[in-house]
Amino acid sequence: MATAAFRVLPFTHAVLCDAIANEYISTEILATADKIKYLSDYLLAVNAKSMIIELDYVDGDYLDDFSNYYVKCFKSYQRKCKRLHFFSMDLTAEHVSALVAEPARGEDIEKLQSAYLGFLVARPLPNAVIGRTVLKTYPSDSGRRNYPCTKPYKANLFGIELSVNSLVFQEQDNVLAACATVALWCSFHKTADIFGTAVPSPAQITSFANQVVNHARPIPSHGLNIQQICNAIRSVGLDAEVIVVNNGVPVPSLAYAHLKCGLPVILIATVEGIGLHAITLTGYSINPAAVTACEVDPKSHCIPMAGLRINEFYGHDDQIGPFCRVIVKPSTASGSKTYPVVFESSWKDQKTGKPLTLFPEMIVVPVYHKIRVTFVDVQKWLTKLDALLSVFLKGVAALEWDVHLTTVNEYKKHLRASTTSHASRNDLLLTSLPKYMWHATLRAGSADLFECMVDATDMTESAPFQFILWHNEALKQNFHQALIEPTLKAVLDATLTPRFAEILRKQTA
Amino acid sequence: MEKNERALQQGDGSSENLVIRDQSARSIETELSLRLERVASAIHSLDEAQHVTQDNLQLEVSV
Repeated sequence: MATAAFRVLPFTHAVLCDAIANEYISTEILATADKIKYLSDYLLAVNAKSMIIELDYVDGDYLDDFSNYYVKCFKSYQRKCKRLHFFSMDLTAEHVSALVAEPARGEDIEKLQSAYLGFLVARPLPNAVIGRTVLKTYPSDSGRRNYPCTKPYKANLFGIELSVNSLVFQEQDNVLAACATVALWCSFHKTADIFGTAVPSPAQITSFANQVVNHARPIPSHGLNIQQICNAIRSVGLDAEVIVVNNGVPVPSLAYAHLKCGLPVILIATVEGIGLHAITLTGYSINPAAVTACEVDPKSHCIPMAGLRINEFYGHDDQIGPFCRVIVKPSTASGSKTYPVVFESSWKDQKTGKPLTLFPEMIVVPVYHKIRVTFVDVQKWLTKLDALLSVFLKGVAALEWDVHLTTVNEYKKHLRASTTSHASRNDLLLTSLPKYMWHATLRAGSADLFECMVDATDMTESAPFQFILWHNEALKQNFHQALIEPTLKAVLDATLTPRFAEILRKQTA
Repeated sequence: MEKNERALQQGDGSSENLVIRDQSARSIETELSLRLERVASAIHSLDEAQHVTQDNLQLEVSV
């Protein structure tokens, strides 16, 4: 049954294709498209049972693209879209009409809200029909799946306010937005939530990216280089943290360290046999115990970190779909280069159907300019520190450094919620601390041994350890004895640097 | 090398059979000397990861 404004349909792959189809692209073609199949599978996995189609929807992002490009084409593209809302409950047109018509149906609205799975904007174009898409994430599976880069999105459906926690996604169109533009656009939605920065449209991002470096015509857009990605990040008032991946860079721990505080991570990877691609990592799956022995080339040294417990990330890949699995695979050599880890997702060889490997080349993180000390800086200090600490922990299984960026407010919230009886707890709550800090905890299984906070706003050369908390008195005593032992001064200075050794002496006294 | 193994009570009150090894100055020096090279190598690798070249900046992300 239909009204002029909306249609209500049961959810199936065929119905989804039919709803997205337009005068330029048929249901039959869409039915065989991998991206639509991915969306159908995703929605079925989150228990989609029905959908409401808003037939006459004005989408701000599409309108921006429309005014920048499509309106100037000879062909008359439509300026209005369809918006598809998904629900994990059976709905009928009568039911929806009643909800719209009768204002006081609180219980029914609550049911509708609890069944809401998000929406998809279907653009009236020959390709790139998947416009702004906001979908509910998979359930947490007892804390394994984490989606820290989501935020609440509101959708107003004929006056009924619905909300869903997600991160916006859209398909690349190769006109105004290639993959890097879409990856940036997704990231900027979350950084706006964290830092209060701007959220330009995809067309604006492509334009900003090309303002300084412009090797070829910016539109139609066929891609951005790393410099242009950095320019686009700068245009919204953030700095681009760029890490060149080599065989000793623990990519899973690096990504985790930013994702845990809600910062999206842009993974630049070579898709086997195809080329460089950008994926916005938005979440991760972390297990109770290590799932791999190594997150770097086994010939390299790396302190044991939380990345060893991560088996997959969830990323917005504009060639695949939202929250797609990016599975961590062991270190692999390709040509003359050895990668610390590689990834597999839904990229497949078109002829054989074999999964294609994604080789990580660079990591780009849009960060607030006051976050000057980086994860890699912290890792270097912890590598030195771990060399001495591990002398006293030889043979202890399941040692792990959990390193992540945090804010003073988040840290104090964590402190208040913790059941620790550490003597410093109250002092720390009452102490003024830097706005951004790196929080590093050394654990043996579930037991915290050592914890330190590194001032992210300082300079790395100063060994900016804000404070250290010892959770194990014997370890502290052993460590301190070594630090004050005169015969060890030379080797300690060589391992830790004289300045860091002095800081540690004071902190353990 | 002197080696004492002790089961310790953890700071959060939970009991873990964690072994902290007391080490003589000599054995610490030996252990650290052995670690120095791989620590230096790891740090060199991380230094390189922070060194973004013009070639890196020109990489075209276009798939």
